[in-house]
Amino acid sequence: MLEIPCPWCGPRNESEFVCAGEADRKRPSDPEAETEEAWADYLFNSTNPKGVVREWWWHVSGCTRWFQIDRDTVTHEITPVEESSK
Amino acid sequence: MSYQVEVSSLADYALINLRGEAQVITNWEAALDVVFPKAPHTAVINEAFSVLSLASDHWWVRTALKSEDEVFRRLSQAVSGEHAAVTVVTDHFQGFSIKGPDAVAVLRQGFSLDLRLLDSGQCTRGGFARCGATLQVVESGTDYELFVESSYSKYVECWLKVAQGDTV
Amino acid sequence: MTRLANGGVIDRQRPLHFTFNGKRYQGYEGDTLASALMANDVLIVGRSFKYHRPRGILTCGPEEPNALVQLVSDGDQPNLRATEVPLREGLEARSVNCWPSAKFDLRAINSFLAPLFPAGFYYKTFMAGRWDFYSRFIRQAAGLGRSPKERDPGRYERVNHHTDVLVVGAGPTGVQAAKVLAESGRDVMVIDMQASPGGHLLFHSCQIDSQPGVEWVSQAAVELRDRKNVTWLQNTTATGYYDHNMVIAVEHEPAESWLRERLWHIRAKKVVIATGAVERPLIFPGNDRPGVMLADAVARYIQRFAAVPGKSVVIYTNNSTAYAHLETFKAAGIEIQGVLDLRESLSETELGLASKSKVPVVVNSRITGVQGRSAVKGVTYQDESGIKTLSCDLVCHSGGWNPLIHLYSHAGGRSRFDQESAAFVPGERAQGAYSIGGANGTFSLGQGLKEASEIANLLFGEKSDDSASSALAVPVTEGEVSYRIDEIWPEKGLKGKAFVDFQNDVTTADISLAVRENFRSIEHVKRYTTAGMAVDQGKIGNPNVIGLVSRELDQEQTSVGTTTFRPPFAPVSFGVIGGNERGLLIIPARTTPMTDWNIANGAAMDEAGANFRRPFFFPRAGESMEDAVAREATAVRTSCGIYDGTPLGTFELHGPDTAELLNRLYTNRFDNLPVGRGRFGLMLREDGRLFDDGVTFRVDETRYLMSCGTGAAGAVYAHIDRLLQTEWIDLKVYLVNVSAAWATMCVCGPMARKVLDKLESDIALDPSFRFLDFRDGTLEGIPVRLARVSYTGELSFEVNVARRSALKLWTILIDAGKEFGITPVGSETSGVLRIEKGFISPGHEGDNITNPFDAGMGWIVDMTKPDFIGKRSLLRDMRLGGERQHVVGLLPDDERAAVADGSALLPAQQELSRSGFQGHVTAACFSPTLKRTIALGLLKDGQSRHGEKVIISGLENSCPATVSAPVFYDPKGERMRG
Repeated sequence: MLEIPCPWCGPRNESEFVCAGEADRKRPSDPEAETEEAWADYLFNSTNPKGVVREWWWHVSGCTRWFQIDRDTVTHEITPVEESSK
Repeated sequence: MSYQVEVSSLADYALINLRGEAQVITNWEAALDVVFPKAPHTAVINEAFSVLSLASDHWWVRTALKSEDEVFRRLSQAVSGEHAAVTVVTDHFQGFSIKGPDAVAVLRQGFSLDLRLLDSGQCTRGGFARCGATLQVVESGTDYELFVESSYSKYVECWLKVAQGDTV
Repeated sequence: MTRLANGGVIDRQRPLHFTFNGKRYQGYEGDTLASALMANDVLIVGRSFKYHRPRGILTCGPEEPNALVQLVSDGDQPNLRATEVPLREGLEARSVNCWPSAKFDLRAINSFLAPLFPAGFYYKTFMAGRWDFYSRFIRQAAGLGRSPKERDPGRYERVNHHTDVLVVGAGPTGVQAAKVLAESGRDVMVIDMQASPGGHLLFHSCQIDSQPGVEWVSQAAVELRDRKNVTWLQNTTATGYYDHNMVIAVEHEPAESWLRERLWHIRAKKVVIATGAVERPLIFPGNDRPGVMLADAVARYIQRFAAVPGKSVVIYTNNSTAYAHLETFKAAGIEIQGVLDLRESLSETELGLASKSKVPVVVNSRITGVQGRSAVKGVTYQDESGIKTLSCDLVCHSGGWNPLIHLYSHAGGRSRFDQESAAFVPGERAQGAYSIGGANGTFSLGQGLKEASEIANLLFGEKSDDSASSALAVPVTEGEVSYRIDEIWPEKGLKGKAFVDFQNDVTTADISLAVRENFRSIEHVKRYTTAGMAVDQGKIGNPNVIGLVSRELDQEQTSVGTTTFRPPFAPVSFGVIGGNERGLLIIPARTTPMTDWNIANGAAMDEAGANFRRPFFFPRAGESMEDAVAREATAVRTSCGIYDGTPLGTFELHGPDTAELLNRLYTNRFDNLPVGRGRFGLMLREDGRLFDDGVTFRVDETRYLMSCGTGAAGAVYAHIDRLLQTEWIDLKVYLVNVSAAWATMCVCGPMARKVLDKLESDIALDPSFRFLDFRDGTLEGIPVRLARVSYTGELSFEVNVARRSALKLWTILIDAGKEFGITPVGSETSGVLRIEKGFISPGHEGDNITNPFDAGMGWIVDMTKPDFIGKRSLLRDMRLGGERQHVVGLLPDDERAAVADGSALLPAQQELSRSGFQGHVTAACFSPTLKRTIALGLLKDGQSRHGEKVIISGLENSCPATVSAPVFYDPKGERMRG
């Protein structure tokens, strides 16, 4: 059970959150301008690195805020991401 | 045999849900003549109502049921034309009072959050017994008020009985 | 009966009666089942797993591999360690894994067939032929214990706890560490496996600060327990160490009398592991015979329980442990025949202890066999001068100590082999896990207390200053025998069965065979031989397995490494894992204000998604399900029905950009929706597949009310909230969940208006109240919102009312509708009405491939909008073209055919050019209105095949059917608009 640092509520059990995947996956601003390959890549692919990954987490049971953290997929070490650096 | 705790359903309350950014807070503060709590887990309580801080742009105003219409009207009028949401959520939630020397022994079965961090008068929202709850601390350690989505009210009533050590 | 007249902590004034394998015995308060059996001279307590050899008690703790029992008297619990079961009046226990009895076990024949059961026997033997044939025989013999048949009478509780430091183990080092940490003002939690604190000092005498060690510990414990910042638990076993310093522990028999066990989820900042060490067996032929025990365990039984397992002992060792116990053995009246020591020489202390006790010691000697099958009669041993024998009824052996590195290892910490102590000790650290004392490979009590005293420095980098209180001073110890070990392995090709893992019956020969067969990784050897598995989890056997493998491979033990220790450290009952989530609380069941009314009025209830249960149908006396559904559906089509739609999701959307948001969420336009009107909207996922549908009303300029499916409500809320907070952060919209604030009751059917007309109301129900309008007002003085929405295809009013007034209004409506035959309708009937109307349900017709065009919903997709979720993917579908599965209607030739959802659609005989599977039935029913079976399905290229024949092929039968348009009733929708 990971402990996730919610920027508003403080550290809480992972079970209060939803992990919403990699934060660098941004919806293209003009989807129709995307090639089929680029669109498929946006829809289906993740980087899934061994090491640090920046993720979206949603504190659904708490303040319902969406926020980012850097999580090491090997050690589970978590570093909060400053709001301004998004 | 069971824990020393008294559980009861709360009846006389109204809840008004507020969403808004910094620019509308002063309007609400003026409407209710109270300074809104702005830090996590804080609440401001006076005789007429309490204001609970639930997120950076999210509050609850809790008042007596008979004042529901009037407080709703004041809060709505205070932000008319502004981008803000004032919603009566009284019926969306069911409140419970959990009181007694073993109150924490019951609550710690449902909440995984650190109850030590909440002082008297504070509040928070968190995972509780697989349905989630908003918790208001009346007296740290011995007196708590818990709000769950009202569709879970029968389940939580039963859950609290079992958690107290009673059989159902 | 072999019980000393004096000594031990048992209460001789309180005798307890118990039954083991059907025979009655007597023990005392303070006994464990194991110590009571020992005091009653019960030698054989079980049978081994594979060979069914008779086995006796080996150890005195949770590491016990042999004495597994089924506790019959307390809810039939399997596989408890007799060494951990406190004795109770009336306790009833049985051995596991033997038939018909532990003394006479028919499957002991396996023992004579032993050459047939080498490592990997099952893998090799049953590769040829059918496993299901063999498995019938193997499964009967497999497994330990017996699954209980009755409902578990025990009650359990799960709790969460937070602390600065968790100390696992209340032996002397754990207690000293807790003292130091509590003194520093931190919140400290101490958990300890045994009934009282003291660790190994409960069994052995040793002085700390000039008082008996166990008194020093209990005094410290009493002082600590009184402190506000200390939480103290006895009878509590830490079973696993998980991410971010979460330790899970099981508390047995808590103070709360109604609980059997409590599961603790403990989140700590740091964890001090002071779990001590367990004794390791020596490997010699016959080392599993009843009467062959670990030396330290025997000393424990004598000192704590005054139970003496023999009269005449041979001690076998490679280390100093046993020498410290010589006086204990003698004082208990055991005649010591001699110490056989594997080592070449002894230390002066060891020699001194032996001569003080007048015990002969043979160095450089090894046991070559144990005489006696079900009881020890003697040993043969070899020393420099040849083979000799000694008679005895007890063999005590000690192969050194295994630090309990399990929790450290669960945390992700590494282990390393320490040559001097011949043990795997904690290596590279992970998380906040710190081992001290025996668990750290520090086998000297004095040294362990020193480690504990410096704990604050270790954990938080704090130096203890000189003026600190006495808690910080290192306690002084006396009476320790310093630990010396020389690890000496048995020769290769040992004759006779020498066990390495007692519980899984793994011998030296199995290990050699595994390595000969080229299993070189210790993880592979473990799985091939099963060493270190099951209840025991390799607590006592693992280091020996590793040692033997390293010898076979001619490698250092460090490079062979350990297998990965995984939770749980000790078996955990299913009951405590489940906690209170059983019976009424098995799911967090949600209700509506009408749930009780529905049940009281005979509803058959069914799962409705999102933990709601909803009426399925309302059977009257003597009615079958088909009858009830037909009656309910007919009522809706000809007079009036009412159903509880409260479980649907309802969200308020506030803000100037709400129209823009809805335009992007739904496939159709919402920016032109006038205030006071609602519109049906279709939501897609970004990949263009059906997601959800529902009606959204515009309440005022900037405020909307959205409804969505019960099961999809959570996902829709997450979808919108994610887009607002992470993608479209410039859109000014607030999303507020009000699902449970409102109850929804649908009054539907041609008489619906008449029913509402009976009630006093300020809402005009004239024709200007059009389909998809809504109006606010009161019904019988109750504030309501009435909406013209239809999910049945009939004239329909959705009555929305605050939860507080819901049940009152519901009964008012039922009463008002009586003269029109108002009929409560369940979800099965709603399903029938929907199929008749061909309304698409994303949960049925949406199969993660279906797009709106496939579903015949092109009319609701506005491709001229600049963007909406799913549009880009629909463009790709359109560009790709090709054959897709479309939603169609199906009319079976047999008008009463029973068609199951999910039946395959196959080409008809005359269509053999089309091959194979072409789709499936998504929903089917008997339509009471059309008096025939109808179905909806997804069919390859279905929209161009209306009128063709297909075969509906189900598991039980198949039938030909005609493909049709997917609307069977009132295709123009005149009834619902009327």
